[in-house]
Amino acid sequence: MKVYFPIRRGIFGRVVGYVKAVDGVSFTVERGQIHALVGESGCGKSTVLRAILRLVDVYSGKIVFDNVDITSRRESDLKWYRRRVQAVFQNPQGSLNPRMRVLDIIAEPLKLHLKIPREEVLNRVHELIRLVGLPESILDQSPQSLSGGQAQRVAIARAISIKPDLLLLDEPTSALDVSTQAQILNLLLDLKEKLNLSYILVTHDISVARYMADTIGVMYLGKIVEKSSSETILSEPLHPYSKLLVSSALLLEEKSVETTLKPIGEPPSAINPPPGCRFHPRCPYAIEKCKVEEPLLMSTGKDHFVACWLYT
Amino acid sequence: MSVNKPLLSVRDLSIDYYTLSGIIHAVRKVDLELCSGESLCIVGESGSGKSTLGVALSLTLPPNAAVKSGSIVYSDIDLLRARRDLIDKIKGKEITMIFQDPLATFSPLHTIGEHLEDVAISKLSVSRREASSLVIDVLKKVRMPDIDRVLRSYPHELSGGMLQRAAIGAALLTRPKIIVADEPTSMLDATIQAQILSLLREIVRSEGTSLVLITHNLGVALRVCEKTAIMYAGVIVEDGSTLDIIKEPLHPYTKSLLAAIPRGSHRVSRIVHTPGEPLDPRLEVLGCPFASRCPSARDKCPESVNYVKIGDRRVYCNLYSG
Repeated sequence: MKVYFPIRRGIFGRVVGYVKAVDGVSFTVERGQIHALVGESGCGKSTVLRAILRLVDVYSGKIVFDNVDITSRRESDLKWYRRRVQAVFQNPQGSLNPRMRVLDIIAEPLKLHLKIPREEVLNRVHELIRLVGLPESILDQSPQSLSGGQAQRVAIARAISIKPDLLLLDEPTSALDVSTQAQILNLLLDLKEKLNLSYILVTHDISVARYMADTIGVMYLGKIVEKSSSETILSEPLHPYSKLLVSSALLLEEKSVETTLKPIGEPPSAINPPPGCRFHPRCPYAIEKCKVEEPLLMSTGKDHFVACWLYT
Repeated sequence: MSVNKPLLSVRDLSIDYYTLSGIIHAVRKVDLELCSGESLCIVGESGSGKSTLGVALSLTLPPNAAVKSGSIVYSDIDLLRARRDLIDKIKGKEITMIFQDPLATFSPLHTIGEHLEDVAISKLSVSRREASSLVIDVLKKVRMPDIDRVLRSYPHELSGGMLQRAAIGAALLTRPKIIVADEPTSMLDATIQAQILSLLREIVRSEGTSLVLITHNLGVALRVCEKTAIMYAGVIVEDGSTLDIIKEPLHPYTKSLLAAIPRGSHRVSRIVHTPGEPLDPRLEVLGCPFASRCPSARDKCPESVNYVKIGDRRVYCNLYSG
């Protein structure tokens, strides 16, 4: 999948370049699985989600959901897809309409997608609010009066209200405190089992990815540089960027303090990514080939893929 | 190293905020000591009062804050009651601060060079030329790349990591005795965060500066500070060596905080969350603020609790009082 954003200049809006936010990303999510995309700001991980939601146009590539290619379907042809794929965003307060009561927020997708009588909508809402562990008294409140954790539970209740198959989670806990984060992560895991959901989780926090996900894709400047099972990525990362990311994670294990790699410099811009491997200017192991030729994602066995010349 | 007299000592400090929704008890009866060259982390969740303690230490309490009791003594001066001119000599010179948002630290209308030179001129009374060489020295110390360009840049032209390096430089310029850093890396990306934290750790060691680092992240504490104080609802519930606290937390709140941090796959072990919400900061508390959520609370916990010393650790909990 590729998603390019045009950069326009001047009064005629001439396109002078592209921000290659997502540049050739491929992955699959099996039913019942959790796939995490990890990376730093600007690596394109959220853009991938926005493309899956068809909020941005895809430049090239395909999005296939349940054997149906939805990449270029018209909006009127997508209603079934919208029901089956829902999203939860980072800022729970910002994703809830401040002028609606919690009750109406959760009821809205039910009214839109399922033609069921009012009575039943109300029953479903009460059921949902219990499912996400909130008191029913909260239904009459407005979103502003909720704490961050409560608001995120409401957003989750709304997302699961119409029984989707796939939930896209964009940094669902990074605005929350550790103990609230723990509540939300465990709630998401319980709901996944109960409702047979699949998740695509976008996060910058590698310990959240390890806790939640079955598989992890590490993104850097619009590319997936490595993907494998989450334990493999954490215990034996191959790509130098994954190594850097894992060693920079502030894990509580004592040994992790001493082994912190010394990273070089800062990520370059996605408008003019470096030629060859995009990580080569910061990579301590870069060889001549890395500066000219771009490595492809290759299998190293056991469902472990890495895009790095050191391993080919 | 702990035999020397503390550089800074906080005694019985309570701070309230007067707000439209009532009086907020942000800091409750805090006792704290900081020795020369020591780095101390204050760890807590939002609303724990850690930042209020930080602004009190750096003498930048907002106008609606009221010190209800206690003292902050630094080189025999009670900073909360000292004369204005005395405070001005200490604030920003002997005690400096690093903030969370590096972009908000600098005025958008001035270059980084002007900023840092102005700090040197106003606090050290040096000439512009002397200031400029001091600034270059300090930027080398924080290992700033491409110093010439940075000096001429406006804040918006630099990345968050570069700006935070410059902010650390500004905080070091006056060769302070104490640096108070409030979440200095929580707006930065993981790899940049690791860079800035290791820079902070090296610099306080090589300069012999004391550091008070305020963070919500125990992983940050582990990387930078040998000592840590855990705050909950305005109270220091436990303090001691960072490593000891992480290996063997004593206070039930610290235990619940550590149990909530993901450390492996959920398939191996689930993280545990303590039910309930943090204490309403408007409530008066006599005993332990965590009592209502504590799984091992005793009858007397809401009414009374004292600090118990265990080796060089201290815990605010009745479970250890024998």
